Amino acid sequence: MGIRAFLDKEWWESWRSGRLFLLSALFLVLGISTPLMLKFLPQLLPAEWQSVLGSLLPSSPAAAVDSLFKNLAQVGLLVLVLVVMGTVAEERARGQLELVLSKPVSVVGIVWAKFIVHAFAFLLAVLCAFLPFFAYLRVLYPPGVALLPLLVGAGFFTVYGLLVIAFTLFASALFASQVGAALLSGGFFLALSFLPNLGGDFARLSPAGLLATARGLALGAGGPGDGVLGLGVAVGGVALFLCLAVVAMRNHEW
Amino acid sequence: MDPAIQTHNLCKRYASCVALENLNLAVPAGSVFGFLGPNGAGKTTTLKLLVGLRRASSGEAWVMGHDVCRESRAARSLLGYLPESPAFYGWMSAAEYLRFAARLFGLEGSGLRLRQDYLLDLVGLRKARGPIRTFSRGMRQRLGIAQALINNPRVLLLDEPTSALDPIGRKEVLDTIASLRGGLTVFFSTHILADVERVADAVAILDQGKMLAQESMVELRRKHARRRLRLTVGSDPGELLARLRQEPWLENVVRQEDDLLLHVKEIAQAERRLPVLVAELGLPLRRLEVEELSLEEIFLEVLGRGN
Repeated sequence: MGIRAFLDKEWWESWRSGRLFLLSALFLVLGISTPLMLKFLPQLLPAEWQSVLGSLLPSSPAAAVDSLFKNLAQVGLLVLVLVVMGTVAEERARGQLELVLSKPVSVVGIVWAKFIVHAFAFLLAVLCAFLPFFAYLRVLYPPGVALLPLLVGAGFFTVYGLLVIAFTLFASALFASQVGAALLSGGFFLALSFLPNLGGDFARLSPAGLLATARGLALGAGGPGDGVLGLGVAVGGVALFLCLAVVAMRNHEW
Repeated sequence: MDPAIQTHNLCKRYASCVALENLNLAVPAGSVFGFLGPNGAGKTTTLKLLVGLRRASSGEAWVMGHDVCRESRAARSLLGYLPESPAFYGWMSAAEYLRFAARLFGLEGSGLRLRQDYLLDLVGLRKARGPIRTFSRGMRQRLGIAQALINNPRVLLLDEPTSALDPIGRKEVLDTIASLRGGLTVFFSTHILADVERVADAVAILDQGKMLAQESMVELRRKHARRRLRLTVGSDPGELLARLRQEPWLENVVRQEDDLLLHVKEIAQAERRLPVLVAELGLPLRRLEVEELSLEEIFLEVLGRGN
């Protein structure tokens, strides 16, 4: 009971607070600026710097794809954590959730509603990054890259983003403060991003390995089968952290 | 008739303290019940246990026959709850919040609009169009009452509903509570005795997690008021005081200017004996009356902090 009401509330809150567009705007900027920077930055620099920069940042579609994934994984996911971190902690600190939970609503519904709206906002942001990126790449580096592999790569990146959302939701449900939630999420993803460096199964199974797979897929290297294990672990992680968020909220005394 | 709210040996312990100890409460259905106690007595803890926002360390509680732990959702569907400082989503309007609250109960359709308008009228917020973040404290409190009533609850739980309001806001909230009498059970916690005096039919007094009294207001007054007498004689009562202290029915006597204030164990005996004593000493009897205790005095007496 009440899941739809809470879903609507989350939706309108994201809309009216501008939270829905914040991430999309940032991803849009990254999607447009990445190929533009690669193409035109060398031309804006003095001639002696151009060769140095050319060796550091080769101007090619592959380099643009690589750069976009790096930017999204670093800046984009950091902002995603900042957007999600207060989603439970803030409402709890303000006392808004106390009033909601005095009604016959389920905690599962609240966690689901929050996850769905954040996931939708993230998916919208990913599209805002990749579709303009694809168009600019076709113009700046004809013939650009194929759309389908790029979207498959974007899909893998989206799954990784969903893991970020689920974990940050859990951290937000666990901590009374947004800062605590942010620190836990930041620490977790820092640790996660190091796992692929350990090689072997860590590289194959780690959700962070999805980012490398996503880059490869976007450039048409390999098939989706490459990242299936990492994808499975990431989806499992999403389910696990959502369950833990429910448990954390249920165990909290309001 | 079964009580609307009942608790059996309800306890809440924290690591460092006992917030509630063996609370046995029975709130009659349809009553306006005041839950009285000083700050930190355990009133808010009790309300949160009843709403299911906190878990009891031991004991049980029922709302309209539903166990608040095992049948929490069924119990909550019959409840309306107003916390001490209700926090709303500030970007919503009053009407939007009421709609949101109604939908959390699964209420939809045209009846909802009528209920929303009725409640906004009841709490005087029909014309409040702006977002809730612009509301005064009193307006928020009144909206809090409206959202607590949105599901037409059988039991209304109010935590210190008037504590932070100015006299006008307090009067408005108390009038609203009084207007609900008979239709549903209102259980409200407060430390403001005048509020209880004004609207409550029955009262429970809590201190340091323990319940010290649970009576109807009439019974509470009857029990306590009939034990104090005010005696005025026409001349120096020194000798009378000495005689009084030998009487077995006297608990204590206090001199207040020309009056003697007598706390007695047995009122009937005192009423019979006092005129005789005064006459034996040849003193003119000016006044002898059974004095009503104010609720404040009863409260302090129950708490063991009275004179």
